[in-house]
Amino acid sequence: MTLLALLACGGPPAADSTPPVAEVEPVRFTALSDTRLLRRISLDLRGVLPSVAEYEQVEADPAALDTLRDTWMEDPLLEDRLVQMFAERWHTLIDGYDGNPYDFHYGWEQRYDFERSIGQEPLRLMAHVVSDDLPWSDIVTADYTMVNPMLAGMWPVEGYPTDGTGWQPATWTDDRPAAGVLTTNGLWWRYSTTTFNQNRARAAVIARLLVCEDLLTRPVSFAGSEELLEAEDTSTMVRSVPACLACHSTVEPLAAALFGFYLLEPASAYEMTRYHPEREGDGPIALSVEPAFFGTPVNGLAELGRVIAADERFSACAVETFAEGLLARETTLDDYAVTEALQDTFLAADLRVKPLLAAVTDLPEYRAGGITDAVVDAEADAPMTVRMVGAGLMRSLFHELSGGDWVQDGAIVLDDDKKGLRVLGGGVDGLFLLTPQQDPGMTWSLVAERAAQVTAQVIVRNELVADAPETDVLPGATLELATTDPAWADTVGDLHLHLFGARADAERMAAYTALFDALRAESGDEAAWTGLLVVMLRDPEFLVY
Amino acid sequence: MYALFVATVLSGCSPVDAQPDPDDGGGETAEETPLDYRDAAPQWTAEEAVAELEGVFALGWPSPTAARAVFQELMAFGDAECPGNDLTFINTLDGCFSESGYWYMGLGEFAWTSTERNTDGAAYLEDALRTINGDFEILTPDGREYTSGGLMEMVRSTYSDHTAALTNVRGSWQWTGSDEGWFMAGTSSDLRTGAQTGGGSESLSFNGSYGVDHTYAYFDQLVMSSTCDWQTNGGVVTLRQDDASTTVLTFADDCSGCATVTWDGEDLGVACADWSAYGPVILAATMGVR
Repeated sequence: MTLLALLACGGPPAADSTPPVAEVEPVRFTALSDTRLLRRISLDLRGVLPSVAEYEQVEADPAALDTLRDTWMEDPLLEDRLVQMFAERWHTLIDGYDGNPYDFHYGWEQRYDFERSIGQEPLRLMAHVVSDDLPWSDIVTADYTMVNPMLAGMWPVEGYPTDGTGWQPATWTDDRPAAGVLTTNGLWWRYSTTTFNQNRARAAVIARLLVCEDLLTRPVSFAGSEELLEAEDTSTMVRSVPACLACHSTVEPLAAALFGFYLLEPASAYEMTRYHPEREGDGPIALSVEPAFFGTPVNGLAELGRVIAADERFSACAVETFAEGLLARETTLDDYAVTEALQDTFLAADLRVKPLLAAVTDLPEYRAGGITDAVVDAEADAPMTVRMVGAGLMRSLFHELSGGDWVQDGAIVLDDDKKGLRVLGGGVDGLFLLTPQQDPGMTWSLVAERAAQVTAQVIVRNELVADAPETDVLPGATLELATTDPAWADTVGDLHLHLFGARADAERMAAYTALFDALRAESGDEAAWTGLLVVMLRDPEFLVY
Repeated sequence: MYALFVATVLSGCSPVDAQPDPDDGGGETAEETPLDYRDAAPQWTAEEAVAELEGVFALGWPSPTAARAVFQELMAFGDAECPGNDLTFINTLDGCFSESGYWYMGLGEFAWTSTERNTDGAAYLEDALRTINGDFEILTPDGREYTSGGLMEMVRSTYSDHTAALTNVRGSWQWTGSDEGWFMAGTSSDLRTGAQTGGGSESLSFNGSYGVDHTYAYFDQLVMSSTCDWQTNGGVVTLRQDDASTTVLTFADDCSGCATVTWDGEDLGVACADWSAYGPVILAATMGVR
């Protein structure tokens, strides 16, 4: 603390002063093993497990961990993983919008793809900015969006290749301003407005997501509530009653900048799909206030994006977003020193996110596997030294292992709630459940069990029965391989390392062998391999990281 | 607690450190914030601005009667199964093909009403054309598309000595098979056009927002009148530039057709236009014909 105080005031101590005695920060965390840490980083950055070779690389040289981490920053899977992470905060991956697949000549069987395409649009733009190592400010200034083939056919955009696949940049053709996510349809389809609300809720969303100012948490005095209740025109009252002004002096000017997305026929896909530049001027008329962002006048969305990017809170909010995403918990004022240092890193990197991600993964808390006695009881629950594999990660993990997705009626079960189990699996539906489940529960356990069963069956059938592997989870194995064959122990030992990020000890291997032999004796070869895999994939050590 | 401690430490520094830096831009008021985020500039000269607006009039004027005429024309290609009858469709949220190969989807219906009214001793006939439902898509087999998301309304009051009509074109409308520029390009608007005839004069007034063919305007009581040979006679039109800033045309109320043009308070000069050809055409479109 003394050292911090001196640094804060600037300048070294006078030469004749007594050297300060720096207080030693107590060690609060026990470190994860290098391989378990490698697993955590891989899951956080890519959503998949390290390979056996990568584990062995770190076993041989722990310094390889940072090298691998930096390599994974360039992995295309980073973009997918960031989309998962952003979805938990931006809440755009909902089941159901005012527009539906029919509006765009798609059948109901494409409902899932339709909804996820729309919801991912703003998230993909942000993930693209990160993965392409662009300044984070581009998320509010970019003159393009990200579309997949479905959106390329739905949105008024150009530049998507005729035979293109996947998510790629495209530019708008309807004269909407260059303001990155602020001008994505996906964001405003999720956060629609009404004739009474007039973009106010959208304004609050911008404040919450981009500068981390949650206006809904501001204290409100109801001292003038009688006056409000009796007022015929509450729109005017909220601009004059002091208790209301605390929020509405911010909300109304920001809402006034958003009328290009204001719909005159709310459920019309034709209206919803296009930006309406001629309505930009309606905001100041409807709300009786000129557009502004926390006091800075703006002339529409393009300027709004630039003003937000220049706001100090924008970079601080980015730090909060990524720190909370990787630490799996909310940051608080107690984290001020850490987030301040992270922000310095972020600013020094010209708002590029990858150095920030690296800095977070360097934090002792990120690398912790447990807490020490130095952590007082009141703080003990804060650090997430063990994170739960929720629905999103479960999906990408099982996709990696089985080479496919668990699908029901066209929907990926772990990423959908109409036909799936996303919420039951600990995920966020974006409407009612807004934070991911942090602790194991009954439904999560049941979903994990069923996902493990499906995945194990697919692996065994593809790799060992049909001999048509899309994956290589069981290298060197055959259906008939005996537990007495050294190759069996090699395969299962490597599988354990791959799945858990740790070597199986003799006791564990003996248990695996006994289980496998018992299953084989009772139900045959396929059941033995499947059963063994199910047990491993349901193991709590596999389902946490 | 820690944050409080840090704040205390910081505030405990030298008095110089504790003073706010007037140049740090940290304030929230407009005066203190540098406007380097603003790089807008005038897009048009005064003459160019007037020409831009004239381009809007040259595309023809949105008309509920025109929108309804196309609707009727295209509904004639439906059948008993799709969309169900030739006046309205409401059970086609997921779309259907008629036997003739036309596609109908959404909700669509126009309705005419005629009502004898008497207000304050003045008797008049009120003819009204309105969309009951205006959220639809009709596709022709040759690829033309009629799409709507909004309201079309025309209310015409015929008195013994004069007629007044008001149209309201609201939302998004497009018919790619139209020979009228506004309809073919598609319009997004909340535009009210008033028309008056009788007593030896005719006039038009324009209010609201109007977007067509990449031009976006807001009309505030722009007036054209036959007594001015259909030149403009007062009113303000705001044109949106590509950078989203606005150019304002303030028309003189002297029948000159001239406007003072400004951008962000900067005077760009005066420009004049002869729009006399448009007035009678817009008047006819606004009055409507059943």
